[in-house]
Formats: sequence, structure tokens, C-alpha cells
Amino acid sequence: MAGAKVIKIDVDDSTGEFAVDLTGYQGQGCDAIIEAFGEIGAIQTHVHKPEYSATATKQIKQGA
Amino acid sequence: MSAYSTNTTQFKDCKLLLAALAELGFTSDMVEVHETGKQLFDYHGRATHYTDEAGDKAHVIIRRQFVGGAANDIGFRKGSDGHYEALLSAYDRSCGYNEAWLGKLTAAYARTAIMQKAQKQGLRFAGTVKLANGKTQLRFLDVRG
Repeated sequence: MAGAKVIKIDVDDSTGEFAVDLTGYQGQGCDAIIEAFGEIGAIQTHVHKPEYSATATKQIKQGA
Repeated sequence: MSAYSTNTTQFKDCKLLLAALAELGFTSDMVEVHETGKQLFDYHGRATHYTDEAGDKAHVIIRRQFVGGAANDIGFRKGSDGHYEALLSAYDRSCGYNEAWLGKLTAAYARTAIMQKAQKQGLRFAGTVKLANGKTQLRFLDVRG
């Protein structure tokens, strides 16, 4: 388990809005994770990964 | 009053909606699921026509006996865009089945959807933490290498 990456997702229990924290996350798997959680729908979603492209962040916010 | 009004929701997946309803106390034996919309009824058992002259219909229905004493049916109608809209009566809104309740339902839907998506991604659930800001943090381990 050593070295396993941790993904934290904060859910607002009164609205369902959630934020996916991928800070420090590396690798191509990032795309798949963003795509997967973006599929949940138009529930407002935020991605915390400063180095990730603005386009991808916009897509997940729109529930792409 | 039993007048119905609608709220748009973010719900697209019926199974996730049912899971969210169960988390809020409406287990599967209390919820009807229909391929085509079925009529909603008020507290007198009368068919209602507030949002549709042909009758208020819904695809996912909690009948009034499971909602409360003088309650009306609660419905979720699937729209052409794939999203469900909630049909809630004015009376039931005053009894707590309002926007705040829909918010909690949305949160339950989101948590269930996140768990499902994470599992499909091969992420390992590592527990929940209640944060100081009141939010619930779901933690996953990516052990895929």
C-alpha cells in the first residue's frame, strides 16, 4: 500500500456539490478519474489540481 | 394545499435515485418505478392536474401513505433531457419535503454515484471523514500502480 495515491472528495451534504482533490496526483489515470466523476452529471464539481489544464476543469464542471 | 410544483434536479440514473431515496428512509418497498409516467394523487386520493392538464404523472413515485399523515404523492418525472424533475405539493413542502430535502437527496445521490464511479475506476475506498466545515470527505486509494 506504500506509495498509493490518495484521492479525497469533499461532498456538501446539503447540496450534493462535491470537489475532487487530485493535488499531487500524477499520471494519465488522472484523465480517466476526471472523466468518471464528470459523468455523474451536472452536480457542481470542482477539481483541485492546479497543474491540470483549464479545459479539463471546465469540462468536469459542466458534467462532461 | 396539494398544488404541485416542480423542481429540476441533477438526477439522471434511476438506480442512484432509488439508492438516495433509501438513504433518506424511503426503501424500495415504498417506491414505485414505472417505464411510463403514472398518475399522482392528493391526500383525498384524487388525481391531480396541476402541472399537466392530462394529469400529474411521474416515473418514480412515493405514495402518500409513506410520506406522512395528510401528505400527497411525491413524484419524479423523467424529462426528455434525461433528467428527473421532482413534483412536490405545497403541503408537503411545508412539511419538510422542500428544496432543503432535495439538497440532501442530491448529496445522497452524489455520494452513491461517487462510490460507484470510484469502484469502476479500481479505486479502493479508504473511509469517510466528517470535516469541520460540515462536509463529508470520501477517501480513496489508487493502488493501480
